Amino acid sequence: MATNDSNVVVDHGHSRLSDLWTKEDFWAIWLGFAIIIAGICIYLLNPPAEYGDKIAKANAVMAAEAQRAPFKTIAYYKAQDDKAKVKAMDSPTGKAVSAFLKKPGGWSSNPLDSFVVSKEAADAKAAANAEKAVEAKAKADAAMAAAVTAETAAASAAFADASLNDGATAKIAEWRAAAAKAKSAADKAKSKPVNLLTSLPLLMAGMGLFFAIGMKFMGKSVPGFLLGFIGVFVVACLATMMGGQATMKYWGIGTEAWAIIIGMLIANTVGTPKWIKPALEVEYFIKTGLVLLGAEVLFDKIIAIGIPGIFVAWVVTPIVLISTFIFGQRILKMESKTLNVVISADMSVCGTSAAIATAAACRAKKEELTLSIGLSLVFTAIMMIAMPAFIKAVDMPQILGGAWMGGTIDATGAVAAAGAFLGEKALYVAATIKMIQNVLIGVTAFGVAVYWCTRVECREGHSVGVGEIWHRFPKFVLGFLAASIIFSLISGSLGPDMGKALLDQGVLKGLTASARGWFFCLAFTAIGLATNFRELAHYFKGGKPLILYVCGQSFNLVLTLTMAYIMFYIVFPEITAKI
Amino acid sequence: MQQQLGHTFIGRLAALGVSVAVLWALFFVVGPRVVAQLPALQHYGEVQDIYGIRSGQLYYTDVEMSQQAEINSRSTWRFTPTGPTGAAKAGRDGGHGAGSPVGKPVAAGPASGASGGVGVTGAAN
Repeated sequence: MATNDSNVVVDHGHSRLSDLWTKEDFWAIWLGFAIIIAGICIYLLNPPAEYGDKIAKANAVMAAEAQRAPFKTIAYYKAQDDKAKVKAMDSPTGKAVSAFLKKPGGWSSNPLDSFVVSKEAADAKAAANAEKAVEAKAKADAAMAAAVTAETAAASAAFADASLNDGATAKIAEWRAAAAKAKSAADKAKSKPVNLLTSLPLLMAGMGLFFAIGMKFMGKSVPGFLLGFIGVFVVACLATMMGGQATMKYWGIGTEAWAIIIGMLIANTVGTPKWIKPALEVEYFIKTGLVLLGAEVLFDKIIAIGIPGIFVAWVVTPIVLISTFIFGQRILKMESKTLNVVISADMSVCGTSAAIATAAACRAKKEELTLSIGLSLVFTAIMMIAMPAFIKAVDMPQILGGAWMGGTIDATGAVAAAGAFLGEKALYVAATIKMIQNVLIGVTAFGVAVYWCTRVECREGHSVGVGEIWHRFPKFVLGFLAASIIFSLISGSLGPDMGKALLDQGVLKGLTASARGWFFCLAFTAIGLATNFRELAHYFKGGKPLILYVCGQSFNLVLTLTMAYIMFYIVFPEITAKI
Repeated sequence: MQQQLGHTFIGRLAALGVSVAVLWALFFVVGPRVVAQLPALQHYGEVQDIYGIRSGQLYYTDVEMSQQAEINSRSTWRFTPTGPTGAAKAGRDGGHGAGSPVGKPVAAGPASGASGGVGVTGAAN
């Protein structure tokens, strides 16, 4: 990222009109918005009329059931599930786009399964799982019958008998768990043939040319970039393949981590080939990915779980972030402010995605980003196993445990997995809290960018004018914020249900999130291919980053647990009981 | 001599081979053995398969269950199950759902209005 060793910029910046087509930050915005506009055209302009009817019908059932019984009934859950099935990305165009952007899939023992699964192999896999699917369905049906019986008993007492209501709630929870297992088993029994060997080269050419437009205007070698891009893309595919290996779920190592690992292995052993180097455009890939990520930062999400969620995610997180940063500067006396803030954001907000956004906003060095992500990965791997085990051992309520994990474990996937370890309620609360925290990325990136321009990148005693702030401000952050604000407004105007169907399960999941995933993967591959082990070790000197992370996370654990208890059990117990 | 070897192509290739072998041993030999020894870890993997989660996923839009979780959380606030008046009283007088995580009687009552302004009447949108 930054090329000089100092955080202090002594020269004055300049801005010209030509920056709009010659600077990387602006090209990140143009390219990001080109994809966003394509997504809007595909998914938002002509939504099928039946979506509104399906959602209205489901909501009517849920409203009626909420008035009928003091707990979520079977009909309530079925209506909720029906609503979740309304997805714009399931349209024929959506499926075609998803197929084009498809990443290498999961595998167990043969890495080639990630790219190609023949019809025979798919049929054999489906047949092998068919028996399990039948068994799981039978169990789900039995659980459903028991739930119906229990709910009928509670209804026959006009829902006035607390023990019958409790019994029905328990049986319904068992049915939900069994139904989830049955769905998973049924999906495995529907194995389909896959061949990415045709789509991946097309995708590589498409993405290479897409980025090459900006390279041309920025005055860089396009043929050199395109040639090197082949190498970066191939390593990125290998990283995606490794991230999809079945055992990686135990350790929380995903595509991005593997991209760094494989890249660094190559760079520090055989060396990164010279022909690849023109394509190691780390910032270009990251910034374009971040503009797309902006579209996923939807501010209306923060009310998803009401006031408790806002307090746990939006009050605790900034306190922890700022406290950790101050602790790093004043107590630990961290040598690099950028490393300090990237670790603080990574640990307090949401791991890798927050680290990327913060690092780009404060122009941290790529080694600092790599180190922060490495720390986060190690502690996530520990916390995602240790926390649910501890919560279970001390018999902590699922909602409290879920909120605690959602607010403290870094990686979003790990939070959901740790929540699922405890049960569906914990999963729902943990994932929702984390989602609300994810949205904080926008505020964090903007705040850090402004703070760096006004307070860090200036000489002591010198004030910085508005013009100077503009010159120094990382412009891609504006694209990131604009995408976030535009999509938040669209989401708000559509309402939570239609917004979910057309934005979350359309524009975002169907296009921008997939493209963003690829761009981040390319960026991390480029980071790995350009990182030297020795340089990385220098940043770890004295173990201060580790101390910073441990102290900050300890504070986070205490504060989040306290806030979650107060909000979910003292202030809003009636809602907590209904989740 | 060792330094010279480190600088030759064969030496660097050997370093790559050793690194790959170490990673392979870690993830495909040691890892599965650790998982086999720890039932908690096995359960951790099973629930990820059931709910279609991967612990390495980056953002909430990558985790399909986040969508389901959000719908469930929003539903709780928008359509808070209150039931008939008598049922609400039963809950207030001493019942708390089996699934209820609280260790004390729940102060059940009508849904609070703190749902971000979305009420039961706002059914369709």
